[in-house]
Amino acid sequence: MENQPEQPIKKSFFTQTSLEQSPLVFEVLKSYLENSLTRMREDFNKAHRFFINKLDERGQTLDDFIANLKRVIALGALASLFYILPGQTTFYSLQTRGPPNAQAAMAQTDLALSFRSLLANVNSQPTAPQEKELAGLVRQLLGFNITGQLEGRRLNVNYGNIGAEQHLARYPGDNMAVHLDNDSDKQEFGGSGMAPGRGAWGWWANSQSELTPKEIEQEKWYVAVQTFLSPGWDTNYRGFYDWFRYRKVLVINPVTNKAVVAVIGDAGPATWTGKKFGGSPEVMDALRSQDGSAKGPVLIYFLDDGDDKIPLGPVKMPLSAPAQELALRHSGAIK
Amino acid sequence: MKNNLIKKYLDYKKIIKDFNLSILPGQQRHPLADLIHQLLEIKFLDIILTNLTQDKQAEFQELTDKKPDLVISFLNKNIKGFDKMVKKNLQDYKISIRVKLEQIKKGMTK
Repeated sequence: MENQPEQPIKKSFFTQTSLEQSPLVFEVLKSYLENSLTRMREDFNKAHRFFINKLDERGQTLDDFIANLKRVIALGALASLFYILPGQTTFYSLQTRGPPNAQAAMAQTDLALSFRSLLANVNSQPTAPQEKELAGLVRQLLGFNITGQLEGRRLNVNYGNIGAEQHLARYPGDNMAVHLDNDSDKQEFGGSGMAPGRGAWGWWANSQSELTPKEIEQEKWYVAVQTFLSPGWDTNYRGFYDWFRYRKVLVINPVTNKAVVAVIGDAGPATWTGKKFGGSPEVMDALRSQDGSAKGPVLIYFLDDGDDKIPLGPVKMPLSAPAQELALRHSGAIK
Repeated sequence: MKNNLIKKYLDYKKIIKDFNLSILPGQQRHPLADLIHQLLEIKFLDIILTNLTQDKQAEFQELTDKKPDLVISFLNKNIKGFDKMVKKNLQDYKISIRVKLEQIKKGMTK
């Protein structure tokens, strides 16, 4: 038989990005191949019913037969056919061994999928087990320690709609003409305007010249929570008021899969609004939380950052929203 | 039977190469290559059975169990153009897997 030249494999696509460098792609391709294998086995069993029945009569399974065939081939002229390598296990086991990078990528993607699956199922105040699982996944995926209760304090709720707030004046005389320091921000966030009064904790600084970069960031990335409804508030108003001031939190939008590290910079919204939280224009933009009525559901947890090392602002989430949906669909987590 | 004709389709190392699966020096296995390898193995058996009558399938089963050294000659004898057919079918199947993987990845990276 002629040794015909094999059709060249076009590699340009795969060479663009190695699979291990993209855990999500790796996971989705793996899921696809696993599903294909399952389907192929089902099709095989249907197409070769006689053969399967004969195996049954011999007390063998298809796996047994293939294992035998593999040994035959290993002994015979087709030794190269299956190119058995050390450590190879049965044909049908969905092996997960691989190079360390691949294993790490798979483990990371499994965590990310668990995270997304958990978020996808949160549509009310998380239960204690959900809260614990969420904290664990955030710790592993983002490296943040989040908690529903910190130093004996809790928010009244950790899940609810967040509404768009306005910019807060940081010092006497602060106004929209000077509040945003570049044209891009002015164009994007200028329209939100500035709240007429001060935030719950007053000015950040006494004057523009005294305003620090840290304070600028705090106002930029602030959320409002209903401090006045937090458990224990009534018994120790002053202590709670001071404790909540600029307390760092992690805000997660489970719908858009966006998250932001923020500080508690204001108290509110009022209960009659039906909303549970408020977000600065920048926070709302980062969370993509604004639906038609400028609100959307979020999860908010205290961020235990005693050394104040975690910067405020958007957090890079493990999976982007479209990609996570695709991954979940391929993994069977959602249909 | 020429080993090199079939090896090129089911050779584990070649799968890693053809699908450009990143594998570290010293590593031999890759989870995706394992899955592709398994798919090709089942396809190989499917090709054999599709081209054997039921009687011959039973014989093939028997030989594999009891006279493994006769299996290769049995396949060559009972399946006309066995090498060529295996080559074509496995190559087509391999390409279909590759195309599908490319489609998925492209869809995710748009």
